[in-house]
Amino acid sequence: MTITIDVEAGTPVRWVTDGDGATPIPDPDYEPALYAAARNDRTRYLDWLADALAADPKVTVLRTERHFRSLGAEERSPMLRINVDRLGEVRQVAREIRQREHREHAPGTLSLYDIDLDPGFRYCLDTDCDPAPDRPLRTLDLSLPPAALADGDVTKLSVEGNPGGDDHEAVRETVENTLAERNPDVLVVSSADLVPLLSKAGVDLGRRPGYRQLAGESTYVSYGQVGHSPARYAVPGRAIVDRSNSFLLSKSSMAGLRYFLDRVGKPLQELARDSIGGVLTAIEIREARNRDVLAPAQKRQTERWKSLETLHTADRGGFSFQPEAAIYENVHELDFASLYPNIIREYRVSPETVCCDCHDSGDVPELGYSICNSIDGSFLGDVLGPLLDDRRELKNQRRERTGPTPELDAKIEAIKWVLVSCFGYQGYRHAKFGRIEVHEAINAYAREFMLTAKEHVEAAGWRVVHGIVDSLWVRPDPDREQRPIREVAAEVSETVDIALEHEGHFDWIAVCPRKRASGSALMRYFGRWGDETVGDGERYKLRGIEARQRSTCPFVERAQRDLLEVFDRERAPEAVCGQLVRHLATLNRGDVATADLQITQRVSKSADEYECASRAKAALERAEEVGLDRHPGQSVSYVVIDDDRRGPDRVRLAFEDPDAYDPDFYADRVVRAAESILAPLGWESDDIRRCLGETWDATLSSFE
Amino acid sequence: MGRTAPTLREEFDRLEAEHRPFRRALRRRHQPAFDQLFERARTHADAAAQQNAADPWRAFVLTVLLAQELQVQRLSDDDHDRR
Repeated sequence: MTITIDVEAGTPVRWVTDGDGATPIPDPDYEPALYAAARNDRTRYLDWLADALAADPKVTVLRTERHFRSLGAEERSPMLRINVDRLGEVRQVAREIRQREHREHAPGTLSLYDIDLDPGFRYCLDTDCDPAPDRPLRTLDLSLPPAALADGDVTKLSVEGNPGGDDHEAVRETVENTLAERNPDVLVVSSADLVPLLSKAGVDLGRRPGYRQLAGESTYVSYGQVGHSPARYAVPGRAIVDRSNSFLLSKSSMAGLRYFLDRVGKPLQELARDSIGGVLTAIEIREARNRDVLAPAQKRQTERWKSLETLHTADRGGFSFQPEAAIYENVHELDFASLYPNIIREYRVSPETVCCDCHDSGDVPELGYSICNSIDGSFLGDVLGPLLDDRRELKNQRRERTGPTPELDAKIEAIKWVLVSCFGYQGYRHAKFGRIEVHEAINAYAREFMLTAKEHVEAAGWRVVHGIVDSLWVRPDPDREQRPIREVAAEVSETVDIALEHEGHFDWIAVCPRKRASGSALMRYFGRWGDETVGDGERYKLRGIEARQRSTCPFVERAQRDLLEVFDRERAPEAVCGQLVRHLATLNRGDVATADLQITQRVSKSADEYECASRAKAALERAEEVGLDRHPGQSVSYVVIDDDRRGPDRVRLAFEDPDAYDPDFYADRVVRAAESILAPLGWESDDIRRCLGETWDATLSSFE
Repeated sequence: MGRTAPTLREEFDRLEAEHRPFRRALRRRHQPAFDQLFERARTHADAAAQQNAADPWRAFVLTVLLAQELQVQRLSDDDHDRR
């Protein structure tokens, strides 16, 4: 029923579907609550807090209740429930409680719960409000190129892919007419900054006038990568989905978002800007509530003491085989289906079960951690179970269909990402329900199963070509007879209780050597699917080579794919070099459109923070020259026009539509792409250059 | 975040870097053999990692011995074929 939940002066306003439109229903009686528990459940601290808050006008009700403090808690603890008058003031109240606590008590005296929930999600949780509407959501797409956004030029706006108009007045009219005509529930915008920009042009995007800024822009560091979080806005009665700030939308589509809307029960606007970890956390908070466990503000469970020996044994990842760089014929790929999430569910690896105090059963291989069996099921298993089942069901549906299935693909992909985050989140120190021992135990099981699978396939007459964590590549041992590979996979599935699926058959796969050192690269390989596997999908599987890299321009990607086909046809390095010469000649003649030479790169610093004169720095300097605002964590697209220069004239930004490029720079990129294709044959860059020299002397000079 | 310990492959890279003075003092014609040792070690780094010995040096010695053992077998098979 609900489309979006606004907050007006601290009161939640539910916008519910009403025929084609939507009606606002304020809920002035709603009061959000946070909870406090005291160290060792000493109620005198709760009494002290209740006295201290009695006079606070923000607080309406103070009451003692009993809830579980953590997933593993055996008994409910006394907690002070603190009702707050206005939605949106919970964090402020929590901050003030912390300040009082620090003034009068030792740190850690109080633990706070249910603090940092997004307001719409909190409302849905507390009131059982279902944020999924009962009719299909109508969306409207508004997009403005970054350069025009930087200039505040709305005349470049496109509305559902059509031009908005030539001047401000025309744009205003187009947007207003379209809004009136389509009455959308969701605005999918290229950037949320469109909201204030269009407001300035006199357009109200909401179902009532005005907009609210929810947060300013910021730069953050996550997993060693610099990210940029743009400003967030809300308009009355419509959900805003910011394309530039929605991981789920970028990896999936509205169908994927829609799936999680039902599954998580979190309003669309909040869901769209969540990270995958955020989506997972929301599901966890819901599941924890079902168990009467509140969401801790900070994780209290610290890593338990362990010996150096255990730490050394436990602090490891999955198992990978070291392949030899070469070409292998007739290879089968076997994959454990959603290995980590399935380990979590099947083996009940969860924060409240691992290393329990009541058992010493040594269940986890290598580590000897016990898994408690006096409880049924497990928290993480219950969180992931529906996702795993849905995904398998959707995959079955897809198998039965013919033709493209974009909706199913989007949902399957969206679920995959959230499943992927679950494992890593167990090791993340800010995860609400994470625990490092769970992370370690999952890895230990995964290593065990990989080795079990290896033993089975080898016993059945197969050789292991390569294996990474949850995938195995095998080929027939020429000296032995083989049992059918699907039969072996089924046997492994039965042994470990997790499906080992036959992913497909390759006519050949090529494993690349490491670039600057000896040995092979684990993650760089490419192969050609056999006819029975390929169907109407991609002919080749590529991993880690240039054509798969984000920063590779379309021309180099196409050239590499073309060389790959020559390689497949001829299997002779000379033939690949011959074709390479053709691509180099096209480049040298200046025949490549600069749109095909755009390099898109995420920048991690601002221009003046770069110590060496990189191309990214040049691109940022150029952006500054033309007045385009780029922050660390955002991407820049550029064409290299003269790689010998330093400073902004080394590149031109993609939207400037440059008419020239640096052929030598791109020639070098194409040669590197060719190196990746030929490396499995033992050819190195010198061999290619020698071969090029023999075929076409003129080309050689440009690489020296 | 999860892992902090280096992988065995990284440990071998580190050992190799650590022994650069040794390599530098070797006669040029002996250097390839020195490099070959690390090459051989890496071939079995996957299996050695599962043992997870606290001392990477042990893993290095055993992987090199294993690689050489395989080489000895291969040579004696060849020898046998020729006879």
